[in-house]
Amino acid sequence: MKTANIRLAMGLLTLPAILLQKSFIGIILQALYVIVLAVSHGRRFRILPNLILLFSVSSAHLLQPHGLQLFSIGNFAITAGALVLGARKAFTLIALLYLSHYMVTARPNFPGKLGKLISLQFYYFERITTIWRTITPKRPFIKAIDNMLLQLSVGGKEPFSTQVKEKASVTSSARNIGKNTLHLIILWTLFVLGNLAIFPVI
Amino acid sequence: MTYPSSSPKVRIEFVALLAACALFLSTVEYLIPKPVPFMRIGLANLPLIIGLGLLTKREYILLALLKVLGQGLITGTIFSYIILFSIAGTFASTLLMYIVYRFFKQWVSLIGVSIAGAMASNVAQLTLSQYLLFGAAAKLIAPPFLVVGLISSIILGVFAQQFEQNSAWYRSLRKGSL
Repeated sequence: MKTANIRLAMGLLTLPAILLQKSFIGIILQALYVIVLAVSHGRRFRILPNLILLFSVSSAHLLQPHGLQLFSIGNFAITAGALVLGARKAFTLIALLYLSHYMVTARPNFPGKLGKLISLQFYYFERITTIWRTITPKRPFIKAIDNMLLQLSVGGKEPFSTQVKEKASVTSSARNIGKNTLHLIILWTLFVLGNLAIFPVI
Repeated sequence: MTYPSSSPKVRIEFVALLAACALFLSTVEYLIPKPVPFMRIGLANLPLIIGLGLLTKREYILLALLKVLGQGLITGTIFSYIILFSIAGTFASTLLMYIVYRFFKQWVSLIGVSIAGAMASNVAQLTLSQYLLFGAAAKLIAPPFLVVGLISSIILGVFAQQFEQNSAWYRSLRKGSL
């Protein structure tokens, strides 16, 4: 089995554990776990977009007061229930985003005609980035793009698809399968612990 | 490359090439500093605007699909909620841009086409954000979101128009001399 497929399967099997998590602490721990997982497989973590998401979704939920009133700004009540609800939703989205990052770290191949087209698209993308490096000057931008497209067309008298080579797929080792099973177990354990109210309730 | 061509293989390759351009332009845009965090010019939509004059309806939809999937794979968001926003925005703008270009070409420039596309995309994404993220508060972010969309789509439209007028590659394609 290919590494990409193992990660895809692991991600898909984990989805319910994240989506159905009821505990606030549970979802934070799950989010942290998948962030570490994605980052340790080469994905970048940027704090600002995540903070913006957390802040905006939590603030939006404050418009519908829910639960204990913490304080008020004029007539606007800041309620604990709404804050936690918003933050939990934001952490769910962050967890799903990094799970997705992890799922594509091994470049999954799509099946069928669409898969071939996507391979072709990436083949051209690699050619474009290679040609772009040789283009000078890069200003004005429109002229530079035009030069690049002309070069791409001149070099493409033969159908490009004949030059597309299937990348050798990486076969997954038993160790890889084991590691992904462990991630799956940990994320589901966090789900169970959260839903049995073993984590502190906020 | 021979285009316009009646060979389905060559035409599909051309769609893949435009989709690759969209990927490339989205990486270029990533490097451009933004005055506001959520403001983006939408350079990746340039192939969609240019493709209006070159592709059939089916090829045009395929280009939109490849753009969404390619970007999702490169950014790693293909299995997350972000892909839903991307699909909603891209397909709403694709549909409206195609209709505007197809039926109102004589009266609407590429700037108008770009504005129509951006507004359709923004409305679709705002509607989705109402259900997925913000609830009723989506109304609050709508005005700045639409204003930023309007400004960036005008910039993109001007860019597309300039490209169409000045590009030797585009002229050659239209003449069929490439």
